[in-house]
Amino acid sequence: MKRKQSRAAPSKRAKGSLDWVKKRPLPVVNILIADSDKKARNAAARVIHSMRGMRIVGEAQSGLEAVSATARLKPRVVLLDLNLSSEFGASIVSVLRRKSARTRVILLVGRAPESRIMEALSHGAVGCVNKKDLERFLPEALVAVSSGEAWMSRRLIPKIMDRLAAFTARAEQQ
Amino acid sequence: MSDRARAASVVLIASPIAGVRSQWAQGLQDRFPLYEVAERSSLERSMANLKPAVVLLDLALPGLGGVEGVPAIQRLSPLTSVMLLTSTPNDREGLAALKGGARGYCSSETDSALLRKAVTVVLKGEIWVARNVYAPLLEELTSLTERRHKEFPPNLDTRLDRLTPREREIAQLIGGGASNKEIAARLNITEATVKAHLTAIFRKLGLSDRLGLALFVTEYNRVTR
Repeated sequence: MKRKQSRAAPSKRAKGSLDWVKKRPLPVVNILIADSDKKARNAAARVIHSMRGMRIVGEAQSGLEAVSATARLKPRVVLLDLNLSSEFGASIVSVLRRKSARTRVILLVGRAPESRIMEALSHGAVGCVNKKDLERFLPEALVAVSSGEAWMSRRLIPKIMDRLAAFTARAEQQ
Repeated sequence: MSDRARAASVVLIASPIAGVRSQWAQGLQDRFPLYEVAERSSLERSMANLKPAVVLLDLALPGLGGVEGVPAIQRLSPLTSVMLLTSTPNDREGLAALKGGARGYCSSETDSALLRKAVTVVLKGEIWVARNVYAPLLEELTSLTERRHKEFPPNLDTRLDRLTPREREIAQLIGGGASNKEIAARLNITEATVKAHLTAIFRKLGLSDRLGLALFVTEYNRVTR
């Protein structure tokens, strides 16, 4: 039985087809959705289900749940509703990163002042997608962030530069 | 942007290579008044005299001295948006360019339609940079923020901060499993006062009962430790 199998595999490959390489399952990206609003979680889930190689490993409805689920599941990506973080403020992002070093945080932003987005980015979020644009941009953001890049609107870049400049100015004053 | 403002947006093109200059000019010439320079001295003169809205600056320009040389050019016309173009873009240099005040950084082979978009975006006050610079940019922001927090620890912005010190004390005791009677004895207050404090705590934290509070406090202590 065993022998038969070991013979079968190489003979399949010997035909010169590289299909087995193409069909080889890609590493799956594990995702935690953290949003207190069920509709919003479902909207994100729909987008994720339509993608290959992405898997939802958990959902969280509060900041504390998000932290404990992240510590337990070590997802590659946490989709974090910016309004979820009331227990911690924006520092929830650094708490999540402390709990799971490999985890990358994408902010889901509804109506939020830009200063809160900037706070969350300062704490280590590497993605930011408007909830209105989930279908259009979440797939791009997930692919970019899970492969180590960042994803956000170009409009945030000048704000980030302002913050960096403020750091430099303060450092020079001291 | 009004047509007049757009009409006034002079774009200066600075590259030592004629082919590169004409390639960049291609997508822009019907949109902006263009000037071209091929060397540093004429770049300096044009910056000072024309005060262009945008300069497309080839990092290969002799005498520029790379990204570090940009601030000296910028000083000749502080309001000009400097966009750096290079045949060998990389994200570290892109980050350095932006930190040096450049409003754009991209490949000198950027196709003309995209380059036109880039110039338009920069004229609107935005920054044009390849997406792979975003990650190092955010890393920088995060590490500077963390360093700052280490030097000057911020007040933790937490829900527990909404409580008074006494309420926080009581919340922690509930988290440790104490009864109202025990808390009253421990803090030397009446049970009625403990209850009054609890009502305030529940309201402030949006919780409905002491079990919820106990779980909240335990979990809070665990995750913030």
